[in-house]
Amino acid sequence: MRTTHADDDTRTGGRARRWRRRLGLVATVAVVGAVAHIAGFQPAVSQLATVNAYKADADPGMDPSGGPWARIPGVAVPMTAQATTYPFGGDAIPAVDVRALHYNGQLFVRVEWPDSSVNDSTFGTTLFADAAAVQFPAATGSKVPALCMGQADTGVNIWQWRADTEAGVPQTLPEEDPDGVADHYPITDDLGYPARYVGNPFDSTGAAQNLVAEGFGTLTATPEHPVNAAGVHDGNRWAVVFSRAFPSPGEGQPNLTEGTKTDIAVAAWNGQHQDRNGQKSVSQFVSLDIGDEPVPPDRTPWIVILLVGGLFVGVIASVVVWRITP
Amino acid sequence: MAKVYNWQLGREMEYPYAGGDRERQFAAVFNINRCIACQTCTMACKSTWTHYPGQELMFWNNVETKPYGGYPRSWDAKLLEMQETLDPGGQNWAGTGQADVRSPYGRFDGKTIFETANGTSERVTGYLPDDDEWKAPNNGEDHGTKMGPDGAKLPVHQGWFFYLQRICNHCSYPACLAACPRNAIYKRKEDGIVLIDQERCRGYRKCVAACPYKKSMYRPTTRTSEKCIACYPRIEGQDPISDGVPMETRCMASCIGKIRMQGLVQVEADATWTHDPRNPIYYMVHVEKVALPLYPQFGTQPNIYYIPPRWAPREYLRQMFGPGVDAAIEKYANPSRELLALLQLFRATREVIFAFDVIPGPVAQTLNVGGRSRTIYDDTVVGYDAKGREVARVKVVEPVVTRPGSINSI
Ligand code: SF4
Ligand code: SF4
Repeated sequence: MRTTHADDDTRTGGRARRWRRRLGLVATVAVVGAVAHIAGFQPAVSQLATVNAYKADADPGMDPSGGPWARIPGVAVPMTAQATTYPFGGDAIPAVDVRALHYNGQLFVRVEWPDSSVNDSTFGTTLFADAAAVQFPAATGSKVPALCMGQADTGVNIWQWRADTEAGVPQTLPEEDPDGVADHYPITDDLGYPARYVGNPFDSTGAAQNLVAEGFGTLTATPEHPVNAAGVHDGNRWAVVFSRAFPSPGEGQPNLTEGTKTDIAVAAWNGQHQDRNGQKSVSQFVSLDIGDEPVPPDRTPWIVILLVGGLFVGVIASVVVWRITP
Repeated sequence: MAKVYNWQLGREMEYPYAGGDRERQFAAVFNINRCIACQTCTMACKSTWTHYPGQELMFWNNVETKPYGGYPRSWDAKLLEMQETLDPGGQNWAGTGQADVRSPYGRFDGKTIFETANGTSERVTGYLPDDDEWKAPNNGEDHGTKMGPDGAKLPVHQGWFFYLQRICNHCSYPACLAACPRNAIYKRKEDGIVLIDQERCRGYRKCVAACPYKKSMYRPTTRTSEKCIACYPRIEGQDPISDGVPMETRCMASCIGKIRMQGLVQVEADATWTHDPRNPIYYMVHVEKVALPLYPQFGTQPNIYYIPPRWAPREYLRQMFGPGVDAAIEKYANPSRELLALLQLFRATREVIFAFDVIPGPVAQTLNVGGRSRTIYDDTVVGYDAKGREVARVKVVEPVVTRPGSINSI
């Protein structure tokens, strides 16, 4: 049932065609954006693509591989280098595949993108982590906030996953590097970790951060951790599932429910390219519909029965034909 | 980009932010001629602030051997080369100094690290050193250039090296602050100290790449960047033993070679220094011009001022400290009565000295130095703290004390 798979050459029929399509989409976004800008209204880029959040009949869990995810269509969302604010850059990820589900008052968003290298350690000055984030308007109203961190009257809520936090942050040099030697740490209380002491979320261990922003440089982590995230790398691609309960956990975070129509944007960072902060690949906002359409049932058993049955009938028929043929 | 005034360059320059409120600026004078590279300053800092897991390679204070050493390795040579590539043939000083506080060294006509970044994806030209480059605070210790057959003689030694003492410059236009996309770095108006807000920092290391002096460092256990905090509780007079007046930082107060003096100077809104010749730092930087900023051409208006080493090649020193080098060395080699007296105040007290007086004394000695006759006076220099109380009194001629033989036992 996969309809699109952004970076799969065999499935989509070649790199050139894929790029043409991607360029076409980017160009359309640009033209629509420009016209909207001139006409003076906020572009609801939403028309270009819609991610439907299907209703699941069982808890999908946090595993991004298989299960209901394989049975719903992915939406290929093109990405470009962030080019609005310093520092620019980050065009390492051409597109992401986005899917969504909801189950029992909980929204699940799955983001998948090509990345052949796993960068899950930041234990070194030049090491940066693979990461992904989804962004929603702070309120599910009609006005779409500015893509980059929103603006003063229309904020955004961002859920970010990072590979290094999920892998666990080593706490000492020897823990990270078996050849590393530290004679003695005379004091190891929290006062010696100012970031930890003041509650910096980067020094916490959860794989997901929940952030709110109302413009550049205002990104702030919420003290609560209402968002879950988990990522799996299959050798060529990352797939990450985010989830959060529908009710808004606090200011600047959208209230969701079945029937909600809002917007979603995606950002992804490739640690191998030293992507971090504004150096990232970003999408435009696309629509997100939390509907009542159920996840298509798992047809695998029927397909197997049909195949086996067909084979059986074929064999019988062959035998019969063979027998009755003079 | 806003236009701000950089007096060390004698001109306006581009900076991402317009100047904010300023009252006082943390500043210090380091006399390179006296340093013995004992690293007592380095250890005073390390044992106070950076002995926790994840800070193993972190030395907010380090002393390195020039010309070959550097922490991180070749930090200055690398940036000088980048600047030359981005501003080919342009990194020059021109014009004559107006000999006032607005342009004491003439005018720098080249581009600063903010200006060479124009049109790039970054706000500041810089680079991110890897962990290997941070591994030693004084690698290549005591490695000098090749000695000539005649040995070393002043004015310039043939085989030479010198020690460069380095901490964060608490720059008036910090590159670290300019590069931070999080607005997590701030400069305090009351003392000009530059701090990273450990709650807002998200470990992007833009400051590490941007700081030309490489004094913002990454800590992998908290995944944030940390930097020298100028021992701000001491500067605020919070230490109980300082009786509420500003006290010098740990690295300054522990200096064995008595090379360091730290102060707080009054500054104007445009970051020039308010006229205050009784302030020892102001006196050395603006009246005598014996102490010079480190690589002022980078454009951050750094606030550690160095008395250049007498014996090193002038061309090398001019690249490092700007065009004021020759005059500064002349002042140091043939000091005025006031300067000679003031040099005795280094490390005479741990309180920050806000004002000094010189009380004239009798002739102590007449010398012949380099064919010139010099008279040394046994003047007395007195230092005063923030409350105007006397905290140090030193004479130019060190008193000689002869111990009786009876107690001369080791
Ligand atoms: S020396 Fe570096 S870290 Fe210190 S204030 Fe200047 S730019 Fe920032
Ligand atoms: S303590 Fe003083 S003399 Fe020793 S290395 Fe540091 S600056 Fe130089």
